[in-house]
Amino acid sequence: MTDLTATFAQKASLVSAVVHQAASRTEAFDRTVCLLQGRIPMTSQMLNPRLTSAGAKEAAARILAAPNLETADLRYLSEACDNAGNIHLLQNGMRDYPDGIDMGMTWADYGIADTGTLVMASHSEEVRLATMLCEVHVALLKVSDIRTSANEMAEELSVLTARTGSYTAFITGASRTADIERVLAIGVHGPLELHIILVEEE
Amino acid sequence: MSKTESFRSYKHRLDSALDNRFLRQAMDKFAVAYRTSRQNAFAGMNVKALVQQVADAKAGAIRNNAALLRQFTAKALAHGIHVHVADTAEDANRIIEQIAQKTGSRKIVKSKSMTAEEIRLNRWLETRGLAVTETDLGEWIVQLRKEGPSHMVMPAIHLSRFQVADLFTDVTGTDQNPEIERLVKVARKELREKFVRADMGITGANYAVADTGTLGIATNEGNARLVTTLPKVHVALVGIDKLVPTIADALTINRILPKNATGQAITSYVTWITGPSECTVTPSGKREMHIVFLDNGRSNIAAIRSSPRYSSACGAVPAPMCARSTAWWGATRWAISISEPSA
Repeated sequence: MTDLTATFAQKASLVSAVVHQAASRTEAFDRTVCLLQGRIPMTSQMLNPRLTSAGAKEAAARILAAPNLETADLRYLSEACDNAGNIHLLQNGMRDYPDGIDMGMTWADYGIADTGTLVMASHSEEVRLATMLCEVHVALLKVSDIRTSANEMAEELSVLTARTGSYTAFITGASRTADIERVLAIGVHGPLELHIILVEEE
Repeated sequence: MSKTESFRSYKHRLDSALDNRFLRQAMDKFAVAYRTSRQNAFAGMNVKALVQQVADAKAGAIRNNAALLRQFTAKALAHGIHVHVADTAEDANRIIEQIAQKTGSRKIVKSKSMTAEEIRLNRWLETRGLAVTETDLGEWIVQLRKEGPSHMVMPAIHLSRFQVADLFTDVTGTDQNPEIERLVKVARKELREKFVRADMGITGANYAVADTGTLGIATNEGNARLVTTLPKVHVALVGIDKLVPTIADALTINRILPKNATGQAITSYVTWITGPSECTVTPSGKREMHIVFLDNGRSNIAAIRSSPRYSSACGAVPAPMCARSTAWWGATRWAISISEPSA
């Protein structure tokens, strides 16, 4: 692990992100499925039963939202889910799952080492919802996309955000609040857990 | 505005707030712990230089405010954003009310905005029959109690977990445990439904970047992300003092603001929005986006600030470096807020 990668991993851990390493993207997909299998299927995150999922979620199935994947990646992940069994893989239509998604898996565009931050170009509504409505967000990050600081990549960020309709998300750790008695609590409106899988390839 | 009251009655309420043991302890704890976490966040950095950097950038932005507003507006229009400029609080309220009318919006979700508090936006919209729900946990709590925020970063710092549990018991109709983790989950479930049903989302902005026509919004809970994603319409209310020239300025604020506000290196979420993003449930496939720039006396203050006699007495970083004075001020504000009916 390079110094830069180690700094990123350390800073991300400080804000309660769980950092994993994978030698390849397929290994990262396997790890994601494994993380999902280890979880109890979520209960509805909404009180009103009339608004619960319209989607075809069988009892005890876990939902994995993985929007905007390349064809080969999708094929691999889809097979991995089938092999694991009882996983409902979602590519789009996240709006039909307002009461929650067990896990959202997305690629991050950049990592910022000095704060342990992920940068995600999130113009796609599916990407946004997969990372907001999920109980657990698994972000895949190529180690070659890690930068030292936000200042160092100001130019790249300017290009990313100047585009019309762009929605650039900086994500550092899981959703949190300290609004009651200034006691830290994780998981308010966003994910309860953030996992980052550092992918060594390319 | 609130009704006037006698000094005697004010003094009475102030004394009882200061006699409230929980309130005193909560404020003391905040003031002391905040100092430490701020120090840690700034450890190894030249705090004075960094704060000065923000102060200089902001002073420059205030001097060039009119030009920045023109530049931002040109970019924003090209992105397809509707831009409005409100001279007064009433103008801003009326503009937002009209956007709601035009878009047929009845249900509104809001993320925390001190500018919206300044113009008493919720009261305006609610008296006109619109349902407004605050989605920041602290703001939602004080909204349900029909109070105002007692602090800009910690709106419900004056309340204990037991008071919040009692409140949530009333709201949900089921007994709620005063364990903080559980109370947070109650808010998660209650508010998820509000997000899903909302027609319109209202946010503030921590800065508006003139060079790219981008709004920056920082939150820890992630509520602003849902507010700007699920509803079909997004209205951002932005003080004209929030304009900055470039993305580099935005990055400087990202670094300093959370350290000053909560002692964090960076907030969990920072969102940069450059025009209407994808919205799969509208005919155009895009969200309708409005920015209401608010003057409300800011340009007058800017004129004074630009004069050579002005020093940096006002905070360049609008964050609670005032935490120490919060101990008594918070109690005072709390005493004031409970006397104000919210509608």
